[in-house]
Amino acid sequence: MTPLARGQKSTLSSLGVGISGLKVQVTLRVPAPSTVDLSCFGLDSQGRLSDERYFVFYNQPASPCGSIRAKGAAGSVDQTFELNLAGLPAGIKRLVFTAAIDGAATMKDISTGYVQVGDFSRTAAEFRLQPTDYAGEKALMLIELYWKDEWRLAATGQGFNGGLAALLKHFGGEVAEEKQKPAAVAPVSMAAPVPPPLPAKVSLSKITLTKPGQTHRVSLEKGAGAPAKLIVKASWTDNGDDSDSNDDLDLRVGMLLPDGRMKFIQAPDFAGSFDAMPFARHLGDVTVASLNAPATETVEVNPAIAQRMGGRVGMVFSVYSAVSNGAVSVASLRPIMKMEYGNQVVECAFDFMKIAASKDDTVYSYVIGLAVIDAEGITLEPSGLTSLPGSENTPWLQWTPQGGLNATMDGPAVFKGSLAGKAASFNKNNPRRYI
Amino acid sequence: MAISLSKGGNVSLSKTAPGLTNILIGLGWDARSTDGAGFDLDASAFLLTPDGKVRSDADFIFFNQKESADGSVKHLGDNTTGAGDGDDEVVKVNLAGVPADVDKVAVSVTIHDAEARKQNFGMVSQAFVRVVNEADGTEIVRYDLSEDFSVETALVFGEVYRHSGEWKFRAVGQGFQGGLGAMAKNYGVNI
Repeated sequence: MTPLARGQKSTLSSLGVGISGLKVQVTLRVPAPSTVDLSCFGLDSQGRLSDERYFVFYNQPASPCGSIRAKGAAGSVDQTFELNLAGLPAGIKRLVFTAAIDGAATMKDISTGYVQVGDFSRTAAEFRLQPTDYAGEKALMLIELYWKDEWRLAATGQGFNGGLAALLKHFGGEVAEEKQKPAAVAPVSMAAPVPPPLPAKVSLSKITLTKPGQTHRVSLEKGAGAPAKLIVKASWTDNGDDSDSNDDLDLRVGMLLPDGRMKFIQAPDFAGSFDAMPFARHLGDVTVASLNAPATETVEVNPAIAQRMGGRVGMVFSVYSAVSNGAVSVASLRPIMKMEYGNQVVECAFDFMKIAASKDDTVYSYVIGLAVIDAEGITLEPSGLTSLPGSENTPWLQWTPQGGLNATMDGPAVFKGSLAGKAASFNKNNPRRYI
Repeated sequence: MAISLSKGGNVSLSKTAPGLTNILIGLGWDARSTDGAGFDLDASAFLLTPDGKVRSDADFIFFNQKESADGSVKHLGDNTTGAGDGDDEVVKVNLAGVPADVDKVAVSVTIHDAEARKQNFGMVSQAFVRVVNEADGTEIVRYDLSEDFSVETALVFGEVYRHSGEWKFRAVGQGFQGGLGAMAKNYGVNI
């Protein structure tokens, strides 16, 4: 393996790697709570992002030609890009792999940073980033693959104090973030009727919440251009334990209705409905995850849910590991949740590895996020709640006297068999009801 | 079309460009577009005797001593950022005016303060050095520093030397540790 110094260039042929089955693996860690976004820009011969679909990142994990694919989980400190340089359109002459810090850290705070380039059988070159090479940079061009008579590799390692926005400007891209950020960080207030939607731009709007109590409010839009769905995705990766069967988690959603009753949905038994009660539907059960392809289960929520139900709705999103699938620490699968509304993305990524339950494979349910949806917006919050060891109970929600949401791990075990029968026996002589 | 010389390759200036009187050594690079200390590349020339040493410190032509005593070698000005198109620094050599006891003129390219600034040629965009016929602007030899000398911080670009009554250019293309100071010492300059 060839170690690369900053600034070093090499042809891919001299490194002994082909151009079709190429892999670029990036790891960059900075101290929490700052996080890093790892991206790939496909540029034209002028170094411009002339086609914004060639910005491959968390909101856009593959280029239109399919020749650039980001395989890592959203919010991960690692990212693997699989590349087929031969499959790129003729206009794409340069791929720049970048890292941008979200948070107060700068690149001088890098605790671990390296990029490996190779194919599926071996690593041919490695560029290790030295924190002492940097000062105030918040975004870096890590390495570049570029065409100059043949495909070459540059260990660039230079960047911008202005972060991802400065990087995009460098590539001549339009930055939507500056316009969106003020709205995204606005306090819980009602946005005025929104102007007509702007032409599609690269969205940099992503909020990552990692601590219980941290909340983020997304305002619902109105009018013809408003996004039609709230999309909630739970994802998890394989923990590398060589067993696939135990990577099967189920996303469960508990909904607290305005009248205080609960409603549960999960696939495939109780998928729900988008246009009718409960105005949320589960898109299906996913059973296998791998390190490179995290599993995702998706729930779509009708943005009009609060109006349709006649008041605020609370939601609790949890992942559940059926014991019959094999023992596993759910925490080791790194479950996270992401809500997308138009081009706004909010991620709830509590690190369950930090808590004692991570070492107990009889803890079956992990709460990854909580949401309150009213007519104007959605407030999201991560949760670190887990069920008691051996308990099949689901999370339960109640409104607090202050109007907040209280989640407890003492809901019914509702998910298999007859819902009506279980509900009837749970509801009997119980102030708490579910339907 | 410039001749692309491999390291150590020779080109006869009088054959490639008959009637050649003045050559320009052009050094160009792009100003740094990323954040961090700017890139300050320097072109320098050394008038050397057959033993490869300067006759005196006056034979070291660089940003602080822009002209040889006889006026045959001139540095046309220090550019400290790379701003501007084309050649950012030029050293002009009047071949006919080079004193008879000078056997060759060595040309170097260095990055100012490279060690402290942790820079190398690979970090600089579009860095090149070339030999141009001043009369018609034809490029005789060109090196791509960004690409082909990426890990170097100092480079002996080449030597213009006398050979059997004509001037030739030898593309040395040799990286050098220690920057301009060490290079000048190596050529016998008292630094």
